[in-house]
Amino acid sequence: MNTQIIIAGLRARPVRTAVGVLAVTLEVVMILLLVGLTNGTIYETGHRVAGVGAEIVLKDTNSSYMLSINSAVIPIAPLTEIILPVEGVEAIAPVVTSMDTGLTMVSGIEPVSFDKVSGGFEFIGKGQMFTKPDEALVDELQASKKNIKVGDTIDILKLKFKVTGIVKNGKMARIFVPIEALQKKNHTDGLATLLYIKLKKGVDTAAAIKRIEKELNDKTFEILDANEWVTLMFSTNASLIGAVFDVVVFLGVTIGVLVIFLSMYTSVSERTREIGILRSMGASKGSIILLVVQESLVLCVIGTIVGIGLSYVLRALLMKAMPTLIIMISGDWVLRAAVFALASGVIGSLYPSYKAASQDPIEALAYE
Amino acid sequence: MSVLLETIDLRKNYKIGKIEVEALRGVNVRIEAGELAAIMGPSGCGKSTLMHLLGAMTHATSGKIMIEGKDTANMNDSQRTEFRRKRVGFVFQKFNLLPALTARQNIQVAQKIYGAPPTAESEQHLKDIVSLLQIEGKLDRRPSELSGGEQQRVAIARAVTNRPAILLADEPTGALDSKNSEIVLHMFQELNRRLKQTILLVTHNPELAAYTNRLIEMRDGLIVKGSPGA
Repeated sequence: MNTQIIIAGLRARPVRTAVGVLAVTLEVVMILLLVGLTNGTIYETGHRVAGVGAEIVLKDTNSSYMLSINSAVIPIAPLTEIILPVEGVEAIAPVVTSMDTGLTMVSGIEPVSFDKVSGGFEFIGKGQMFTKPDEALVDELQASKKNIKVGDTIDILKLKFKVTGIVKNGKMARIFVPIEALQKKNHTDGLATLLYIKLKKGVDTAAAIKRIEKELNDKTFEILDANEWVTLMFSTNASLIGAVFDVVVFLGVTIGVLVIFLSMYTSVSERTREIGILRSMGASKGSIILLVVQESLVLCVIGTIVGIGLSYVLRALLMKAMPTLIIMISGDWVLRAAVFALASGVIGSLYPSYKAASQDPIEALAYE
Repeated sequence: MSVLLETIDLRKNYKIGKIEVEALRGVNVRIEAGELAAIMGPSGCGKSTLMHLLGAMTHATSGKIMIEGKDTANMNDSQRTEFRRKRVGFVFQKFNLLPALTARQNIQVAQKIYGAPPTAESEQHLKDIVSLLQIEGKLDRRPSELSGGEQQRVAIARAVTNRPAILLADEPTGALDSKNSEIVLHMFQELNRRLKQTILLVTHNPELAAYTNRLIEMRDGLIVKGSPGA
């Protein structure tokens, strides 16, 4: 019974059907894209940090794990003097990190030490490492996003830099400038935000960290396995990210519930007489509730399928238009979005279905 | 013929605001199995209320409605729903077909609500009804594509497809012209004659009486003619 009535009902009211489907589509797209964007940003940041090639990171104890962006407080020369001779240490690269407009990460580096730790930059097309304090490297995604070419002059942190090379993505920052440039701007000569420490081949990282801690004997600094640091970036931000996800899901589900509620409530009101006819033929209250909920679920299933497809299309378009944007749509979130959308359908249709089933058949049949 | 339906001192009161209205004031009526009877009376005499009670659409204030030995007057909602599903067929003045479905689908909805799987016998029964009502060529049309007379014949087919104990028709020709009214009334006669279908028509039109075996007259919530003891 239900299939025929549901299909006929949906086809008979195409605008209402389209609005219902659209609301669920919007809910699914909103959840998948916003969660995907958050996950993508975090993943990509971790990936870029890991791409530096250091096994150990030294940071100020008070700086956050998330990129350790704060004032540079680590004295480069004294610490390098202590750490470099430690058994197993091959190279140390001091870095000053800063955030430009649009959350673009800028790293101040020393070309020689950074090359030793990271293995050097891979240039795309013509280009070379900067040699002057007002020169910079830009990664491929940032260059594509801002249409930057070698030789261009760009504004970074309100300073002018000439681009000497476009480099492959994956070495921490989007923009690299001489470390002195950022130290001078911040009045932190001789200080760094982080020290990247590269170990010799085959050296045990945990043992090396213990040796460095012993030599350094200073609790002001935190020495971490680089992999652990990346993990901590995710875990220490988990509660914040979780809260963001909760808000996104709540908003998405609320939109879905409200539109489905309105759609089904209108549908039930319009079909009062039809429900009276079914009741007069002996359709039970339960079957009327089931009919309304099933109709709502059909809207949700269509909306979910369209929403998932549209999310992938929008992701591709957004990532093409904005290359620095990373949107990760994971299988488990696709499943969650589908469950949330279907839950919206059930929740949104509960009261309308109850209202439909509770109608007195005589009054319903008299409804004009 | 055996007694199919009997009401005993059936009363139904309504409340309209603070005023209590006595729609039925002690109705006693008996319908034999296989009868084609009409309840007639002026508007507001209580005939539609009586039909709703006989069709288990609502509960009585007091009294009994014995149908096939069961008192339906005081059944709860789910019992009344099941009774309607299994034993009652309704035909309404405004046809009340589901507008988005074809004629065939409207009939199938009744079969599916009834719940029994289709058998060769039930399929043959439906074919016989469709043939008798002369709607074979109309089954794939929606109500909006059918004339009033055709819609009412589809509604009759829907009402009798599950072999109800009684077919209740409330002003079945009220929305039809005289030609279609005649066709529909003739078909009620044929259903009664060929399928032994018990039919109770409710009308205020005295011309309908000519098509029935018995006329029961109502006035002011009471049977005044055509009933035992009336």
